[in-house]
Amino acid sequence: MKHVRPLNKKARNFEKQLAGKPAEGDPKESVSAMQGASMGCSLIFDPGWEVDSTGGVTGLCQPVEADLYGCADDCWWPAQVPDQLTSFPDWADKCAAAERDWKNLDLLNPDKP
Amino acid sequence: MSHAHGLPHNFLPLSHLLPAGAAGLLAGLPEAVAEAPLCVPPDEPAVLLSDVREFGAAGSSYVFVVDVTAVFSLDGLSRDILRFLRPQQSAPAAATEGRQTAGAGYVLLKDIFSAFEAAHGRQEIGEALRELRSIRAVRFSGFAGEEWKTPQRHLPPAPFPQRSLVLNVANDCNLGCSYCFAAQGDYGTPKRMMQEETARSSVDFLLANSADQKNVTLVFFGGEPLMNLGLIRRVVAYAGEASAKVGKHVDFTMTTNATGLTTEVIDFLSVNRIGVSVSIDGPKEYNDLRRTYRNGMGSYDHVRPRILELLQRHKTRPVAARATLTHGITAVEECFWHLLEMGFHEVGFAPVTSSAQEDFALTSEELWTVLEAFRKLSDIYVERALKNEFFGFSNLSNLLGELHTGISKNYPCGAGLGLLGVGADGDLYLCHRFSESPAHRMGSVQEGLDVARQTDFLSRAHLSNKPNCNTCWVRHVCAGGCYHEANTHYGSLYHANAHYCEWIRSWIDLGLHAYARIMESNPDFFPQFIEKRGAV
Repeated sequence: MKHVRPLNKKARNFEKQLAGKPAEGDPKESVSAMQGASMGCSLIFDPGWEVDSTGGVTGLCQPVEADLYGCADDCWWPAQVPDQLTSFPDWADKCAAAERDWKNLDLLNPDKP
Repeated sequence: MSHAHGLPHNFLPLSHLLPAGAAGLLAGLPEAVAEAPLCVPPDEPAVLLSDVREFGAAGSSYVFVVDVTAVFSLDGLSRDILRFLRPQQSAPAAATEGRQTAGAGYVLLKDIFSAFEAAHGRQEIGEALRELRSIRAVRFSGFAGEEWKTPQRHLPPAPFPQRSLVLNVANDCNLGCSYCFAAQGDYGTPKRMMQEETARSSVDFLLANSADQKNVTLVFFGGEPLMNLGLIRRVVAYAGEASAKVGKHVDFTMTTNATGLTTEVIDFLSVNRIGVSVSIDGPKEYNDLRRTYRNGMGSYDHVRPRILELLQRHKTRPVAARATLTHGITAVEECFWHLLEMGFHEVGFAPVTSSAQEDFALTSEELWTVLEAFRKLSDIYVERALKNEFFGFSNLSNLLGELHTGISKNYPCGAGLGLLGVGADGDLYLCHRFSESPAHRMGSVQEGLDVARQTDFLSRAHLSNKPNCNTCWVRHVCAGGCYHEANTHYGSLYHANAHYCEWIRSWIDLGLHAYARIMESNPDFFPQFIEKRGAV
């Protein structure tokens, strides 16, 4: 990180977590230390399931395509999505509500704007 | 509309749930609800300031992220962005500073860009925003997938390992300090001494319930624990054997009034590495105000030579003094230096903010006088720390230890969690301060912990049940404060100690400044002096 620099141990763990490294100390302790912290997918409207309990997709609370949104955050989903902050600010403009408008999300080609 | 800022950021106004045309139903509702749309995300990409505390120390800028108790230093751009996001209506005034950010309004992303574009490129601004988001200092909205919901309330994993037991080995005291929460040592019950069998059961209970904890602590408490010295000798021997059998280590500490110390007792304490904390309030004129024998005679002249011998002979563990600050005693620095010069390694202060007879509690004005003294001692602490020297001001060492680790608490202390008090008969209590209080009993060392009562306590005492706390920036450091003080002041241990919120915020703010100053110039201070030191 360039604009912010961690000072205490919790902040350093944050930085490590963002860099994909294990937190300091006993892994079990680090899990409980982060309980209640606002980190990760659990706070985002995105269950992250790919199939429902029957093995199909009809029981999911949102379409499988919604998984794409997992990529727009510092999240677990290992795929690329358009950079909404600086390069493709309009990417999701037609998708005001994920549950309803997900079909309006389109593919982008950086070479052919 | 600053009154609406107390609402959580994801609060939806009632009008969103009502059919069109039903808005008239809102007419009689409190204004805060009717005006809540302030907190609803706009359609365009926007940024919302999370619950953060920005502060400056020694010319640099820092941010304390409230929900995760993480401290970061900021560069100029990231600091300016955070300030830009802070709503004008709740600009910090001394009285409302603790509540400045929760539920504040959104700022459009394009407005942020246009405010900083002249001085910084879009790339830089975007980068700073992304970093601020990754440390949870800001939240984005208007981007798909960024809707937030309220964090879940998690109870600690059960069964929670026991780490400490506070044994009330003597339900009696030879002093009669007028401010004593134990009602002159006997907790308002018939005087009695803990029997050896009970003490052994306590050791067994602690070892059996400590899960994979290798080190556990047994605290000898009272009354005056030295009134039951014979028992302590036998328990120390027994705990040593019993813990060795299961591959654990028992650490011993004791809180004493020092009246019963003799050369022989001191040698016993030293040989067995028993950590000693001496209750003494300062020089004679202050100590003898309330630390008296039952006939009213002050205890200072009697304990002083004994303490001096303790400090000279007990060399295996640092010895700490614990001074209670009550009404009329605010000469904190004078008491501090007096005790430090006696030879104590550390001196800690316990300000009394509530008492059953209110005449012992510090008044609000006195509390602020105490804080000013804490501030002066903290300044000396920082100066010494920068020279890599330890300064025995326990209160600040404890706070720095918590801030350094970034402990995020949903409970103010370990009471009922990893720590329990044991009454003279073996009954388990929330903590030593609740000894002999039937309402706060949680089983016994003989029958085991009453898990149902513990679970009930933990779910009721959780920070999320304290409405006073949910907009406060120190909530995960303070978590509502001492249960015993709350019980005395409000008649419920589940109530936050709202009568000293402002004070505790100022104290933690002071600690954050001290932390940043030391950490920037001598980060090695923490591994050397703080991380190895247990809380005193």
